[in-house]
Amino acid sequence: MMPLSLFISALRGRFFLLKMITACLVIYTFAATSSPILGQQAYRIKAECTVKSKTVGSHEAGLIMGTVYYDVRIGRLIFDVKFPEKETWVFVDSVQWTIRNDTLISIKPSSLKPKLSVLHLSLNQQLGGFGLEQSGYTMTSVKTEQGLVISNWSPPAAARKKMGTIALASQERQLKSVIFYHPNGKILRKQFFRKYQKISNVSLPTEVIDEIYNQDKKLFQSTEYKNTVINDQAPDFHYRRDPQYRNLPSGSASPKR
Amino acid sequence: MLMASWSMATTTASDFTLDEQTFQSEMAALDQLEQELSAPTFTATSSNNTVLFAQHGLQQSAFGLGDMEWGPFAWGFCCWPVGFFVVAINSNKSKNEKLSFWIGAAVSVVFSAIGSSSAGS
Repeated sequence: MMPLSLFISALRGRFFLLKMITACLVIYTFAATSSPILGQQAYRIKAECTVKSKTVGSHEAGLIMGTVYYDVRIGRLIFDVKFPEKETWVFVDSVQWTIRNDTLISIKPSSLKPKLSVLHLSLNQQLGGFGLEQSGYTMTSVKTEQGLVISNWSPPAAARKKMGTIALASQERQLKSVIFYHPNGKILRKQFFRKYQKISNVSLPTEVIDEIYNQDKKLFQSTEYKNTVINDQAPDFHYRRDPQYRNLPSGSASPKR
Repeated sequence: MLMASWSMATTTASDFTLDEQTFQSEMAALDQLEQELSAPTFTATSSNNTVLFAQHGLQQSAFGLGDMEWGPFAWGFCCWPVGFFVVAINSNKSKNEKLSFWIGAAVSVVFSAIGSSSAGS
């Protein structure tokens, strides 16, 4: 017969094993949910998008409709345009590829940088600071006025010949508006972030209005996002769009993979 | 020197206001056009875009140098008779490509005229 003390120690051993297994399971679950792929961290966004632009006091207008795709791990901003023409724009670093019928037809320089886009900043929960710290800007002043927290940011000293200050206005930790100044102090552009929606833990402004000052003209541009999906499970292709290389214009730089 | 030409802006809360009334009135026609285009029955083609805009009292934004398609431009500039078939009457080519072709052809004509007049004098 097994002595009682031996039986108890064997039982303790089993409990120890059981505790170890439970601990391992807890650690695994925590690790899995922390991963952007397996967990709830937002890493992808898909939305129907409409961009409308209108020059004030003129008939000149523009309208673009389609679907945008962005995956933070890939870093390409994709715009599947359905109007005015069916084609796909892929914004990579500082260039724009235009793809039509699965064929890359042009590569152009672009001022739209995916990592400074509203979609990237919203997914990374950096929209509040507009990604200015990451861009080398430094905060020079902050004050509260009429319920708005207003902060002024200056560009790196080396860039001050071309870049002016930027002012941010926030309310209840949400970015409400941004003003871009010319180095001479004149307002170049105002941006308004409205109709915030919380979707799967991502706070996204579903309406962005731009007021652009160009010499003596003023232009309004509104960007609206609808039917937003976070962490869409579609294949990576939708967020990458590697084009075929038929008809690539000669002299064009090869797309970065 | 650099600092003298650089100005630190002073921003107040009133700078962050949008002229809502002007914005809404300027966008009204575009909102209407967007609604029409969003209808499930609507099928758009690039050829009727100008008409669509005109129906709402609008004019599609002007063509700029950034919109220029240099391939079609080269067809127009270097060899417009072939380019006419490759680009101008090709239904797979976009409006910008066709416009770029015609700009290339026009520039070619102007250059030829200048060349021939200077050769004649």
